[in-house]
Amino acid sequence: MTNEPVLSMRNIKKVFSMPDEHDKLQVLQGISLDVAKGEFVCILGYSGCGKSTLLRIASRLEQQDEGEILLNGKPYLTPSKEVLMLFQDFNQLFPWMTVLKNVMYPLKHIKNDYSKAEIIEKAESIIDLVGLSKFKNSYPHELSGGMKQRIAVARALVVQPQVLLMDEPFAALDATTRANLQELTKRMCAENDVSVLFVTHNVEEAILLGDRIVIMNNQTGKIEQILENKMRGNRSKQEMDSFVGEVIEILNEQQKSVSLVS
Amino acid sequence: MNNIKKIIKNDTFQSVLWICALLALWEIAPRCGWVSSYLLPPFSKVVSTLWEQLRTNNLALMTWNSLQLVLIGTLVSMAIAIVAAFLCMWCKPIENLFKALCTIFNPLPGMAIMPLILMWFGLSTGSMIALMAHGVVWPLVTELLAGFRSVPKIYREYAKNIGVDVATETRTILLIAIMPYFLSGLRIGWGRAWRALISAEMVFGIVGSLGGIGYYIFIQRAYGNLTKVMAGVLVIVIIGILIEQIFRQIEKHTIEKWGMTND
Repeated sequence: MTNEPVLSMRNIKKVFSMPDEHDKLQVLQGISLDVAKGEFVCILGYSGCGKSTLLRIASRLEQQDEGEILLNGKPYLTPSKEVLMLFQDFNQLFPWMTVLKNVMYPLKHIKNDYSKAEIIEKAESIIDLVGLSKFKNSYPHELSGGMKQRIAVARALVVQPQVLLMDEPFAALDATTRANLQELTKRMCAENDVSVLFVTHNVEEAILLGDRIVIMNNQTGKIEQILENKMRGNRSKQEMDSFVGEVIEILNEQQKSVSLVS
Repeated sequence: MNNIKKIIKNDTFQSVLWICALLALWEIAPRCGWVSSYLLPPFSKVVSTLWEQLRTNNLALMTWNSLQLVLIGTLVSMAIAIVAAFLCMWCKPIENLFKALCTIFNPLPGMAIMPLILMWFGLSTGSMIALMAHGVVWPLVTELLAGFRSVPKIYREYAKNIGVDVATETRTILLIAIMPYFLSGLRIGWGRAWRALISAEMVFGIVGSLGGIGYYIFIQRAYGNLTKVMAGVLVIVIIGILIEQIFRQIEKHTIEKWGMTND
C-alpha cells in the first residue's frame, strides 16, 4: 500500500430538496476521505446518513454541490470504468444476455485493444474465478441472487477498475451466501489491487472486510470517526466481540435506541 | 392408463379435439340437410375448392398481394413508431403532442377515415399503407413509450458508469430492454392493420391490377359463390394462425428465454 491515495473526496457537500416542502435536507456536510491503492474501506452508518449518495457522487452518477473528487490526484469529472459501482439490486445484469455475454459486455463496448478471442478468454477466466463456469451459458433469471451478485462482481472486476464502489451488495443475501461472497470479493479485490469503498449498515461485515472503518453520522452528515481495523488477521472471538462493541458504542452515541447488529 | 388421462386433460389436446368436433359438425350438418348446403357448403368441399382455387385461379397471388401489403404497412409503421417514440423520449413537448394524437386517433377505427384517405391519396398502395399505419402507429408508440419508461434505471446507470456512448447504450440496451412492449404493441398493431386492409379491400375494391384476398371474397360474394367465399375466409384464418405462431416463436426465443415475461 502506498501513501498516494487513488480516490480522494474533498469536502463533499450535498443538499436534497424535500418534495412538497421548502425544507432542504442536508445529507452530506463536508466529507473528506482518501482511499489508498488496494485499500478496503468500509463506510458504516444508519440508513439515511447519505452513504449511498456519497458513493453515487464518487462514481459521478450524481453531482455534489460543493467539494471535489480526485482520481490519482486529478479532478475526476465524468463516469468511467476506473471507478465502478456495484449495486445491491440483483437485477443489475442484462437479462437478455448469458452470463458470459454479460461479463464480456464492458470489454466489448469500452475502448481497449483486446481481440474478440481475448475478451472471451478474460471473461471466461474471471467467471471461473467466481466459481460459476458451469453457468456461463445460463441466463441471469436462471441463477440465484447470490450467483447473480457473483457475476456482477466478475463483470466489475473484468475491466480492472482502480476503485470499486459497493453499495450494500450483499445485504439481501442469506448469511452463508453472504459470507462466501464477502470472502470472495475481499480476496479478488486484494489480488487485483483494487481499492474498495464498501457501504454497509452491518457492523460485523464492516469489521470482517474493512482495512479502515468510516463511521458516518446521520444527524450531522459528517464523518464521526475513522477506525483502523484492529481485527485484521487476528480474529479471536473475544477480541472480535469487544471490537464490535466498541464500534456499536460509537454508532449509538448518535442514535441510542436502534441496534445495528443483525 | 395414466398417460392417456394426462393426454385427455392436456389443454392443447382439448383445443384440437374441439376444433375437430366443430369441423366435423360443419361437414355433417349440410350433408345431412340440417342446413342449406348452399349457405353452408361442407368443410371438405370448401377445402377442395380452396386447393383448386390456389392452383388454377389467382387466389394464391391475391393472398400474396395482401400479405405483401400488410408486411410493408407494418414495417413502415414500425419505423414511424420507433422514430416517433425516440422523438418523444428526447423532447417532452413532442411526447405531449403524441399523447394527444394517440388519445384522438387510437380509438378511431381505420375504416372510419378510409373515405378521407381515399379523397386525399386516391385508391393506391399508398393509401392502403396510410390506413394500416393508422392502425399500427398509435398502439405501438403507446407501448414503446411505456417500454422506455419501464427500462430499469440500473441498466442505464451501469452503462453510464462504464462510459459507453448514447448510441451504443441505445443499440445494446434500450432497444432490447423494451422488447416485451415492442412485441405486444406489434401484435396489436399487425392485427389492426390486417383487419383494416381486408375491410378496405372488400369495401373499396381493387388495389393494383389484381387486388388482394379481401377483394377476392368480395367478388365471389357478388357472384354468389359461397364456397369460394369460405375458401377465402379459410385463407385468412390460416394466415392469422400462422402469424400468431410466428409471434409465439419470437417470444419463446427472446423474452421467454430471457425471463422477461410478466407471467
